[in-house]
Amino acid sequence: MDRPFETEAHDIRAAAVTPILQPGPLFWPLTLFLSLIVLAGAVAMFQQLMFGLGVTGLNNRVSWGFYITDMVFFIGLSYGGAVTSAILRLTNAPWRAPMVRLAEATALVTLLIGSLFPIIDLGRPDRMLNLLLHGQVGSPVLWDVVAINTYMVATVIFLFLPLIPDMAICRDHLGPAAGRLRKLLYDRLSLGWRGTPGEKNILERNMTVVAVVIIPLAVSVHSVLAWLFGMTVRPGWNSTIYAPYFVVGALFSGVAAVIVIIAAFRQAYHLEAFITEQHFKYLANMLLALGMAYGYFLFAEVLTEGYKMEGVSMGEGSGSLLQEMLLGRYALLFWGFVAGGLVIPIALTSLPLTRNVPGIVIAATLVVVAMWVKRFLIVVPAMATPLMPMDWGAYWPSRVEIAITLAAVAAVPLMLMLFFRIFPILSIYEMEEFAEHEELETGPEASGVAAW
Amino acid sequence: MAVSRRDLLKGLGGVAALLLAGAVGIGRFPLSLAGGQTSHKKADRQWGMVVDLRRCDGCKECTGACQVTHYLTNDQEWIKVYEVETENGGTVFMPRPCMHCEEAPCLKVCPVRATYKSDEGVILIDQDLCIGCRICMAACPYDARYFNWWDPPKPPEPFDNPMPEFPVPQQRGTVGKCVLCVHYTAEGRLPACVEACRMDAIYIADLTTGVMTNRSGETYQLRQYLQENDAFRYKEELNTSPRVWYVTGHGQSLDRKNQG
Amino acid sequence: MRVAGSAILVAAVVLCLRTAAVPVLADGDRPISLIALPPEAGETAHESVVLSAQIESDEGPVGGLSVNFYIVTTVFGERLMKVGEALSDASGTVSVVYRPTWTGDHTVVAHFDGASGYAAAETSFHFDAQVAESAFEPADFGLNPIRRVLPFAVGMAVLVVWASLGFALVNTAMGIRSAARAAPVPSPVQASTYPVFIPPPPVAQDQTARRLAMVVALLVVVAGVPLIWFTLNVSDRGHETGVVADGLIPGDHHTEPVAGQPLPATLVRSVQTVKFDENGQPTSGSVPIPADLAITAGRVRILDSTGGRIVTVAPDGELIPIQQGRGVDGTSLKGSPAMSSLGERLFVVSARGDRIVVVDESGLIEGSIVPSLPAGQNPVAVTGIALSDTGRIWLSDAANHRVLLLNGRGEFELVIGEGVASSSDQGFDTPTGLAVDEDGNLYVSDTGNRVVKKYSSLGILLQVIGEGRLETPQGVTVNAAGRIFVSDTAARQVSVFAPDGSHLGSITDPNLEEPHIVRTDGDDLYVLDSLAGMLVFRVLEAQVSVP
Repeated sequence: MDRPFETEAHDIRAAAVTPILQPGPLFWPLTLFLSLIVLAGAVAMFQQLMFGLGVTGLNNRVSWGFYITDMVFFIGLSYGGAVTSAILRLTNAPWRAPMVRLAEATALVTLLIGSLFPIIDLGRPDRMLNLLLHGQVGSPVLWDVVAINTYMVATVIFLFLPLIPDMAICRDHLGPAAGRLRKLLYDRLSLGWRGTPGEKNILERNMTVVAVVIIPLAVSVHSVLAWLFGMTVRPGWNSTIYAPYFVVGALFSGVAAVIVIIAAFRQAYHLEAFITEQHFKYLANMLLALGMAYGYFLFAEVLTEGYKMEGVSMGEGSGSLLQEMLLGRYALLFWGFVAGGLVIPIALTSLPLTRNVPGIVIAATLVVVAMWVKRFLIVVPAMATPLMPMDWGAYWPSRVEIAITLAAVAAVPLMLMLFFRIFPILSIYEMEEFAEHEELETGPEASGVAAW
Repeated sequence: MAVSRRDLLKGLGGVAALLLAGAVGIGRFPLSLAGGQTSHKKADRQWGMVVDLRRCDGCKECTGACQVTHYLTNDQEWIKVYEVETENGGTVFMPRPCMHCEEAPCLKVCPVRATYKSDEGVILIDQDLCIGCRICMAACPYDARYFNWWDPPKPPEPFDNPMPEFPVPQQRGTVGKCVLCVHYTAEGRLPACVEACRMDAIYIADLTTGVMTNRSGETYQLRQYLQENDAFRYKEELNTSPRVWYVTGHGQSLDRKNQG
Repeated sequence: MRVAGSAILVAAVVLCLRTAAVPVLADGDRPISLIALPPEAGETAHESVVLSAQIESDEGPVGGLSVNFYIVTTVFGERLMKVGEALSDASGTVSVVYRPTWTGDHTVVAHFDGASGYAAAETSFHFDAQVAESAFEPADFGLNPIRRVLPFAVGMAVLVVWASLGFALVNTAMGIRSAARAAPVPSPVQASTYPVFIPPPPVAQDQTARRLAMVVALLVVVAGVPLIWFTLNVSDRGHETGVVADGLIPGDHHTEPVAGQPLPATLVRSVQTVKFDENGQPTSGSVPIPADLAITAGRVRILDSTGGRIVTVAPDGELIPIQQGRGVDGTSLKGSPAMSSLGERLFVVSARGDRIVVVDESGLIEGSIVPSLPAGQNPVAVTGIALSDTGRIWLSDAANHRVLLLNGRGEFELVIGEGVASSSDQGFDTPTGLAVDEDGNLYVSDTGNRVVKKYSSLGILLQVIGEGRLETPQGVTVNAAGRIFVSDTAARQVSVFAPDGSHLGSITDPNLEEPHIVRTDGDDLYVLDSLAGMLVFRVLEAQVSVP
């Protein structure tokens, strides 16, 4: 097939609104199931609010645990949207069009969930406003608050702009099938779009502006997250490479998450005609490159730490952080991460035999899970390292923490499923634009950046 | 290009409005731009501490007295006695209060200025402000901070007016730590741990007058004493400038294990 | 000038000089006086002061005598700060250099105490500490210019970002509207660009999908209910704090012990061991950390390991110290972790197990048993002691996971345990509480293995009690009927076992918070709780019948 991405306009529209009109028989049972998990998390959260953070497994030695791990993990996942959408938009890669909506929605959903975790982790969430009323700009926590909120607004705008023409299409063509509420929503969000060249021009221009802004923003968010740790003198965190290390890690897990989500929705809503195996191969290339970059960072970290025998332990009968990580109590998790998060995915995405959709999806799933483990290995061992002459700190998550984490995991597909009951799953406008340009044989260069 | 002048003006207007709103917002909220709060005026007294490790026998009286004074649970060891292994197999006991660092790492990272340095140089926590993010606990190189995971014990009637200088009772979901008993020192009384130390190992020091004294009234000139006894500060290399000095003397054996 | 031959001490200072005459207690027929010498000009720099004095007797200046100089401080009441000590030279002159550290009046006290007499002298001077040497080095908090500039730079960057985002949004919305105005063609939607949408044909609802949906719905119900239960089941506060599991080691996940049926027991007495007077201060009898409890001659004794003493619990709940301070041989009970009773005597073991102090009923220290142990058997952290009727002493060493048996003279007889944590028959993982029954059998609370092990007096394992029933067994005791009571600290309960090891039930009183010691006296069960103090339960025989 010489034109793997070419499709007809009609098919695009029909496929994009299928989830809105006919979500399939599995939709409601699955929604109910996921809602129950989220509800269980809400119950756990309620208990935590009632009794205090004592219901968690956290203690005075290991005072950050699952919640901070989850925060870094979910915000990291939201990078998939930034990279597959913004970077590909700026580089004007036409193949991005069928998956940008899915990627951007994933970014928004994971960011919303991830940004809840710092609040869940607070001892006094009722005093959240103190961050504004008594904020101290020198604190990494405040940097986080500012960066995450800015990034969230940018993500919403980034998702919203290409949605405007799609809203107009839904407004004009879905008819009574959409229902009253959706119709009202389409009416408002389409902003009176009629698809004249002038409107398209303005939209393209502004989408480029946001794409330009969102990349440094995304980099800043994870740098700041890294500095939450890097601004302390704890062994393991006291590192200068933490910011880029975190950014690459976030991109790595974000691309993996996008692959998993796209594969799931492609399967569920039969989008094979639009999202082809070629898409997965391109994404796998990115995953491969990022995986190697992350492996390189990991190697650089371990080598420089280990060579100098930094962080010699003070406790009796226990080694330094690095010893415990490589050979001691965290060895199984660490080598599990290296195998499941780096070696196997890199092999799966590079060997011709497994460079197909199932192989790539398995690799991506492994990366997502392994990157959670890696975040756990970043947060907890550094907290458990004895700073004073005593033994290692202990931490085992309580049921409350596990329930809330599971609820967050379940909330990602749940929120995406509900999102696509309202909004088209494919970016109709962008796909049609590319289809049109191909027909006119002006090439993809005519749109996007060139217009600005 | 299709950008009309009108659009441009509108866009610029929007930017201006947003900038204005941002500026107003920053002006409206008293965001500290200096980074960390420290008092520029210095009080007559600057409190510090000296611990003579040659004397400490690890009885933990100081810990108990502190917990009783501040109505703390057992896991909140604001002054904690560590048992340090020495090279010859013995042990030395090392009480660790809050170090009240001049360059306190905890103070720099607090997002809401709940942790602050008092005029007397003591690091205090305003538990009415603390949001419980615990980054200060991650930042403290001495593990000196404790979180109130549960509802703290309720003290009797007269003590229900918590203030940073005397944080009793503690508040759930906030961080607490040694306050060097500034409510006592203000009245010329010794801190609870100093008063409780039967080995006379803990000295309270006033850094401005350069005087250090302990429970039994032994009083020395701080600087002279520190020099003569080879005092050191824990983790000096971190440049936190702690206000707690430790004395191990001139290489005498401090091991407790070999003593009868 | 009370006595003839007065002592005068002069503090020579730059700004002010005052003298005061103070008497010397003369030594018999050789009266000695201190005479102050004024400083020579230029002798003192601005940062230091020479304090000097002269010692003279009737026969002239006295050399070779040691004089201490002090400055009076008032930070914590009047306290004498030693600033120096010097010997008088042949001319009887003593002087020390003092570097004042504050501005103001300084009171100097000189003190001479020797075989030839005693003298104290006092004077004062004013010092302006322009170059005061203080240990206080005020830190320039903003030493780091990055931290000054950073907030502004970041703030500006954030503003620019927000502005760009706002621009994009506002510009799009307004642009679309103005573009629409510019093109007055009232087309609903340009049909040429957007072909009319035809809803896709309904997907055939095939049976497999429907069946799958039903299976999922069933799963929801099956999985959802336990899930909710799972999260609801954490509200028992204190439970989670008690157990701090080890690091994330595979296979280290604790299994929950099987809950026993509650055992009816009446709380007959509750004594808080920390008491406060009307000023909110702890009373003298307060025991902040009650370490152990014993009952001798009907009196309840509590070991206060921080205070190094033993207190008796009076019938009205008052705590009366009966033993404080040190014995005649200098022994102290400070830091002692455990005690046991035999007859009227109490046996208190030190933390390292190097001394077992014997205290009689009136609180007097009778003496000490010093264990003599073979090399390598010395305990590191003794957590329990129990005495058999014959006076043999069992000690548990939690750090080395061993239990030692000594005879009444402290000589080594037997050891159980491998020196490392082990779950074998002859091994322990952190043994804590010990108890000996009437037959001389030993009960060891094997905390890490979550069981109580019963050994014969020869160290042969007889029985493993409470498997799957205990979470953190600590204290253990056996009553006359052979029932075994085990305090389960984390589970906040006291589990009761029949002599054959079967589980009779658990005392789960809401007052129990961290029960760590149990003792029985007749029908009464004494529980020492590190948070709740002392609790006494009455467990009626009828209720403890074997089910």
